[in-house]
Amino acid sequence: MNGIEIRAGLEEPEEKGRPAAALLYLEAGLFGVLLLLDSLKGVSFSGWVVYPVTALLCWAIWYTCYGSRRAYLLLVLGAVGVYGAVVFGMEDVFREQIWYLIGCVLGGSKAEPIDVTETMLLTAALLAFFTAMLEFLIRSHRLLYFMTTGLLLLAPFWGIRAGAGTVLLLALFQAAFWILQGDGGTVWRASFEGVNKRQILERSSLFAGIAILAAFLAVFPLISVNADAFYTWIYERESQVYGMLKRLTGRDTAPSAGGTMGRGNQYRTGIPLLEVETDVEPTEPLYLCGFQGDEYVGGRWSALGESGLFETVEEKLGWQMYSNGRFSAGSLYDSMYFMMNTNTQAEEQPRYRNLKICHLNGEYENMYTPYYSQRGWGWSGAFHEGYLFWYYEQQDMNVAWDNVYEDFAVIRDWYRTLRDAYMEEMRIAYTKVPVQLLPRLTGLCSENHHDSLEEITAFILFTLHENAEYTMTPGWAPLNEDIVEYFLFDSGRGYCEHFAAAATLMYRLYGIPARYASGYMVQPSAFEQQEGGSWKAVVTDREAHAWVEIFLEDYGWTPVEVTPAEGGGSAARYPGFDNAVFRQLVQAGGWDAEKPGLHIASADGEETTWRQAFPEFVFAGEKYSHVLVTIGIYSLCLLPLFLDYRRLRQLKKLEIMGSRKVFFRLLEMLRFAAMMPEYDGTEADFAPKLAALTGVPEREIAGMQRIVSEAAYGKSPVAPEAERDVRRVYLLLAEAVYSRLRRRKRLLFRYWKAFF
Amino acid sequence: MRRLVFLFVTILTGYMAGVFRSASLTVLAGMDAVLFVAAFFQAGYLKNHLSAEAQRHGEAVEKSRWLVCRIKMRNTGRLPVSRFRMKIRYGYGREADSVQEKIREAGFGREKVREASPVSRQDTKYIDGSCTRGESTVQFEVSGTYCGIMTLHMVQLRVYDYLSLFSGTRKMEETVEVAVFPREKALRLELPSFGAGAGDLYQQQVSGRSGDAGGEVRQLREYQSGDSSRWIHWNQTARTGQLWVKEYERETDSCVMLLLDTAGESGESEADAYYELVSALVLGLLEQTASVHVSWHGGGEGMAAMEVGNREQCRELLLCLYRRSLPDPAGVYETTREPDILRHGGILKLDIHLRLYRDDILLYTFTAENLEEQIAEGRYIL
Repeated sequence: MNGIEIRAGLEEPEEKGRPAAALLYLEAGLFGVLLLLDSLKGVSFSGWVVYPVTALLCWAIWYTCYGSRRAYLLLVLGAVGVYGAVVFGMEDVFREQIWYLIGCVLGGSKAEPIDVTETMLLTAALLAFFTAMLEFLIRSHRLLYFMTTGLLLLAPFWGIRAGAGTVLLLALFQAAFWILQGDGGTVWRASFEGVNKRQILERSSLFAGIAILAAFLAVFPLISVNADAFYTWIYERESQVYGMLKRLTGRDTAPSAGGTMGRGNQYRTGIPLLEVETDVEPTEPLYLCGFQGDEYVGGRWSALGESGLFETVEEKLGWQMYSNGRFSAGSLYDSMYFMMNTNTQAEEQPRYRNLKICHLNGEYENMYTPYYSQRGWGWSGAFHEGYLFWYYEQQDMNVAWDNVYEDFAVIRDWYRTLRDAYMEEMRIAYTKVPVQLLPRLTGLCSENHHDSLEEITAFILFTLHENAEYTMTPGWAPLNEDIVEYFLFDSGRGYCEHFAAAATLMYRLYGIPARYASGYMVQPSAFEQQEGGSWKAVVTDREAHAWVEIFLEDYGWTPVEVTPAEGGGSAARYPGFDNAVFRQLVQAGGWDAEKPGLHIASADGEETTWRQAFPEFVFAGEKYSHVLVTIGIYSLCLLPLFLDYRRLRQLKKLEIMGSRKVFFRLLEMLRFAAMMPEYDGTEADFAPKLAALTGVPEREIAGMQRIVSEAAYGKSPVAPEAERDVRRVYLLLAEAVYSRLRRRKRLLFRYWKAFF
Repeated sequence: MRRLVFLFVTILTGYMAGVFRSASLTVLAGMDAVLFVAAFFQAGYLKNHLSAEAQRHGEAVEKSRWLVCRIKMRNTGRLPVSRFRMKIRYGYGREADSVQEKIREAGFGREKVREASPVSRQDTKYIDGSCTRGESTVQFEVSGTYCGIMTLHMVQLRVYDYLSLFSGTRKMEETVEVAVFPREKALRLELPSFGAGAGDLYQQQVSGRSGDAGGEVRQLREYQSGDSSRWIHWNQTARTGQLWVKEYERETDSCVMLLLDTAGESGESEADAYYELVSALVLGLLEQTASVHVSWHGGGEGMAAMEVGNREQCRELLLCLYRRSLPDPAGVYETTREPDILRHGGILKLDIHLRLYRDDILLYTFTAENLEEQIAEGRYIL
């Protein structure tokens, strides 16, 4: 302190009047939130009830908040009473609806859709009072700003696709109240006095509203044309950040080693993870299986554990005595098909290949196994130099159960017994599907009946390829949606994990034993010949992959490629099935993309329209008509109140109006009523003629004329009594004119022109 | 901070729009980005069209009372300004850049050169406001605790966009000087010329007439010890048997000489007490006499003098003292009559240490701490 004190705006005077803009913004915010809730999958309520009632409640809150605080208190108490009684009386209804809504949000509820109008009314009322309390009474906007922002940003996590109306209304609510409250409710340290701050802020907020609308109109066409470019740009940046973090943290774990399905984008960095070396140049993609899924438990596969299954097999076969040795059922089964192929008599005996796998990070917790293989000699648990497999390529597999070398016949019989027992057990184990989690997928398979494995495979491939597009950046999936159903029926975008999981589940739904598998798929082109004649490939995370395994009697578990090949088309190939068979079956089945449930993506590369690209922007939705009609009805309902209020204000103004102005108003009234339109009030016969027309005594009108003349031309001001007299005569004349008008014109006379 | 939060929310919205492939969130992020850029330009636009000007550059107020300062805002743009912030530096005395200015301060009988009394600390206040298109007036209130000249210097006008994300700043050169005067309280004085003995200040210095040759008799009062026998109303005394003395109407051309010695170091509170005492003394003298001839050291080499005849002139006198320079008002003149003045007898002198002399004889010593009580309750015979 230096002996001077400056006092500025310590106590901001309460400005009277009801800012109409505040009501507009309050309703914008609430309608935005209601529209957002309306977008939640499974939620349905009667828009014809919820929106008008909310609008009316907003009006009542606004009217009482800016008027009498006592009235507001009564309104709050009344609302608490009414809603309390309703909730108490309809407790069961509310409980059911609230649980249903929670189920919709969490995504676990597969209950029959129910109407939640009552709960939405209650929610809207709570939101209205809460918003009004913060905006009108506490005058703080920050909390609501962050709440609405959070709501908009978190909504996609629960599968709520905010529509254009929601975004526009909430943006208006956020920005307008931000301005109206003066920086979102920040109390100015000191403020100048002498101006109507609220009025200025109200005008500023209206300008901001116009700016928001203009920004929307400017941005919308740009986004509708360039949305994909924008997403790609975002993914590129995200990929850069991901790669940078990965390099900084040094994490190089295999991306597909686990059974958890990716719910977001996949970014590959190209960091070398494995080194695989073969003695012969590979001619087929080499699948190195690191994970096999057992049961699907909603977005995740449990790891395969076949020990229980083999115990059952051993029990059934009476082989319990071998259960812990080299001849246990599990150990025998692991190398069964390799051994069978090796010992099958053939004109040209296929040669198995040696495969050495080396983990570059030196960690061997998770091993990768090729199909049709057996662990090679030399594997002794010392992993620092890798481990060995002997394996056959699929084309070299030629198992003939009845054509083996004689000395192998005994073992062949064991294998056959084991195979039969295993097939019996695994048919039960690997056809399990949690149908309650996958109602749409279950429905799709049950609606499309197929018998043979080839037909089923063809249908699965067709469904996947027609409904989904392969991309490593499909975007994030909502938390409350099953990733497989979301991939197949909603987004139509995904990568190998999604394709493999969907295919596995579809096989199982058709009763075909199938397993989800992930690991690496190394293309033959990745191998380079070394100096010693071997072929080596460096495997990075770009080779990480997921696929389906189906069980073929003569091959055992066989990989099926369901992820579309580059440039489209199917790469699926297993004995008895290839691309030609697939095309043939599709043609024979007459499947086309117009089939219900199979036309999410656009067919034949046809360009997507903006309506397809932006489903949430389609305005044809009934909910928008609700809002628009509500606003219309609301305006119509409030119009009489507004006009009556305006009329009363005009009459109030008349009480302090000067005699000359009153007389001008009289002349205006007479012109409106088409009475003596050629007169300007100065004529000598004005009074007698008007008296004759209206029935008001001539002396009253003449007296009025005289006073007005004195007011206009006299030297001294007119006495207040005389002014009152002029007003009295005016009202007499107005009443007389009003009674002589037709009904339609009377309404205009009274409420539009507010003469009386 | 607000800008960063807005930018962060916009980027986050854009990111969420991308990862969820949400067209509506993309539009929202785009709208936010457009608004962000628009806010930047709007701040510049509003700044270029808004100016402020003090309605009056000179004001006066009594100590500890509130003064309303009005500022005229001129907005030539098409948009109302939802928020501007004015930076006001305020303090007593002149601006900081003139602190180093040296003034010559002379006391009676001694002369020395010293640095100007330190200008009081300059504080800064930020005041927010909003204004419509065209001209409007905003106001704030100011109050001073000490007597002196208070300076309100409006140095900066910062204009914000509607979302307060950006601001444009323009310099201001508006200064309002507020003279803070003491409360109008008069010392209760008794001058010997009005009923006191012969040879008093009034006779010698002002009227120069004999006691019975004065103006109209105002009233009669009972004799008090010390009253001169010349003023006894003998007729009334004879009628009542009790001594009565005559009191005369104040002479219209009567005058008292007052010398103000401002030499010496003093802090703000001492100076404040001095000004308050000067005011009370002069007003007290004016209740007894027609005018007071006040002399003090001016800004130059010589003396300044002023004839104070009413309250307004008393304020002018104080203003001159605040400025410590030769004042402009009519009736004030520079004088070199110091020796003449000093040669006269019966001169009142008040020094900076609140000591009141008559003819270099110390009459009373006032204290800054008890000055208010001393003024309100004391009765001083000069």
